[in-house]
Amino acid sequence: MLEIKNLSAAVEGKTILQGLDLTVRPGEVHAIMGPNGSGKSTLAQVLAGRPEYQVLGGEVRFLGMDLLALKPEERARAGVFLAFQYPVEIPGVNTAYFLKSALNAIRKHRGQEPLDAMDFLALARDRMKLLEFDEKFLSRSVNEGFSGGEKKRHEVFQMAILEPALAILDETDSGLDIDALRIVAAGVNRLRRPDAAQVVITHYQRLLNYIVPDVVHVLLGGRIVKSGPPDLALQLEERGYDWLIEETAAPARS
Amino acid sequence: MTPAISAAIPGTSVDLNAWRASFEELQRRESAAAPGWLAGLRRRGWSLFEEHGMPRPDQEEWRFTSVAALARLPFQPALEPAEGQRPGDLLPPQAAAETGPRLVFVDGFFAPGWSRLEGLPDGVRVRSLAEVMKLPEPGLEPHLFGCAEVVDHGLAALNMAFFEDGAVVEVGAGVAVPEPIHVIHLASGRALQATFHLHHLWIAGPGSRIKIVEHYESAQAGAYVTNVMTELAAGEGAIVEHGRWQAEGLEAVHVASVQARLGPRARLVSHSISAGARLARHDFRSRMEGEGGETMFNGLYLGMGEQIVDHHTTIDHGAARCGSHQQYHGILDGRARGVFNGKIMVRPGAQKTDAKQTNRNLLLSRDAMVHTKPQLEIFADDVRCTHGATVGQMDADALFFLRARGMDELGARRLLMRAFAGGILDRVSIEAWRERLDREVTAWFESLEAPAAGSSAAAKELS
Repeated sequence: MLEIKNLSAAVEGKTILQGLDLTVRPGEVHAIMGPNGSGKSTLAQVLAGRPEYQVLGGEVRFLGMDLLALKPEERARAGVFLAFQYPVEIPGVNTAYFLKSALNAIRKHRGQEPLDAMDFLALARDRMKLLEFDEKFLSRSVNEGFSGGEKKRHEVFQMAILEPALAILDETDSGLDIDALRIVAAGVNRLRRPDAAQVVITHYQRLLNYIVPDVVHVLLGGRIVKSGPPDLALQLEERGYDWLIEETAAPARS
Repeated sequence: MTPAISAAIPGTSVDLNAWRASFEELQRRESAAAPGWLAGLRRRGWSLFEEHGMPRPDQEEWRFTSVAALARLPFQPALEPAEGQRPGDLLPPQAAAETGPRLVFVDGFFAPGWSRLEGLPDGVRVRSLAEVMKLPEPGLEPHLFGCAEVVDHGLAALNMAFFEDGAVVEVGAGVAVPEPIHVIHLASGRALQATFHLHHLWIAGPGSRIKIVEHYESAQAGAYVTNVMTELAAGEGAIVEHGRWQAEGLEAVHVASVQARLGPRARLVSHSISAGARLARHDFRSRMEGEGGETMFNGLYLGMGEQIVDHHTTIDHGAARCGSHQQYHGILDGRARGVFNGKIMVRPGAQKTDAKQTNRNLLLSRDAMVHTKPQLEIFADDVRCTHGATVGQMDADALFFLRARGMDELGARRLLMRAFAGGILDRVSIEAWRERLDREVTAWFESLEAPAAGSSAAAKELS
């Protein structure tokens, strides 16, 4: 479903990703862990198509398409979804209006009829239950006045509405207390489908108690240096990243 | 006192004689029929014009809004209705669609055939100024050019010398007018190189309620000047909502002065939506003369190409416990230039003044520019005055977020512009007018040239 080969990318003239490889198959959940500055968020932004990030080399295939050739909106319509680490507040843009527009843009791409206001509301109400997300947020401006936890829940709510083929969750756990984390994780788990994949980027092992990945990857210096079963996250929690830095640096020295 | 005048208008290369000839022609024409009060006003206006001259860029209030181009053109006053007017075929469908009472003016003069005044409640009197000007005792003395300050520049003085028509609306004490009254000025395109000196006068009696919307539109392209003054007097406890929709053609010049006087506990909400004219200058003043008055000035200005759009506001807190709230948003593209100058004057004794002023600007291109300046003059010590101004580009984070959810870039940009404009439009309580503004503003967004690919990245690098 997603195949990243030798991807290098820079932002503000600084090279962050340096030859990253990653393969994700339908139905899988991948966790990407790594210390600050290792390139986790850069990977998320590059996959979503943020214009400020320059791709220096490599390729990304998504459902057979050349993902990097697509505009951000084309990627979204093709099924890529990024749950933002820092959801932006947009005063004056009504949440329901925005989300209905986004959904209908995607439905149009899929060749489906647009949903009218009634059908959209019915869908929204259904998905809200997943996340214990209050209906009052629908009539507010996007993220305006939302608490940190509400913003994160809102991201996952959008994911529940848009039903992407590939969801990338960029530190969705950061800033969440344990109850909110449980709700968000339960929502994400219920959105698992055999034909969809999730890439969960996190700094902490804590989230992976709730969202159990099939594979854990360690991102260091802009490359995936180690991949393993869920246990790997526990090891990282215990030992930190230093041992991996030494281990990966060693071959270069010899 | 009046300085000697050479043949040229001070600060310009314009021959004053042409203007003087027009003024003399007007005086000759009116000499037999006109009442004395009118001739007196005109003479005062002319002498003030000789004193001020045309606004010049070396005057602080006109630094960024050069009317030099205007002064070079022979914009002679329109002294009588153009021949053969058949108004019906000119009224733009949008203006014609305004429901409820309306007064239509064409090329500076009242057009009764298109106006519609039925349905107004008792206690409301609506006349054209031309009609009032025939009366020996118009009964408007304290209000028509009610205070000297209203003539604070040469163009206002020209209005005083040459005013020919306008809407005179008087609302009796305690009368509530349910429907908004639309005052529509239309440039037909047949009177080119003309200046339309309109003068409106609205008097809201104590405890009355009224909503009035001014419209300025062109039926055809062409160069002309609209030089309009609106005087508004709100008696004790009156509630007035006032709107302006300025959509003159892009060759036109629009000069507007809105002069309000508020009695105790009177409340004025005024919205200025400006999208037209190559040069639009708006002077808004509210004088709060009694305790507990309240003024809200809202503004949305849109500029593209080479347009210049200028708002100069003056809030005069002349009594205690008055509130004022100003919110102006500008969206500028191309090489357009915006000016916002917000003056807040707190007179001695105007304690417990609460004044707030905000000016926000969205620049869509590298060459668009805005000059924004607060001007606070405070002579009381127990007051709260705040002001803030921002100038920025389209929010790159918000734009990317919307695109990352599947909205195309153009649609996302328009949605963000609409949200920014909504900060002003949502304050309009006249529903049908707000809906029309929404459509007009949306059409304006859609008329913008699409930004070049990758422009958001370029903007980021610049910031």
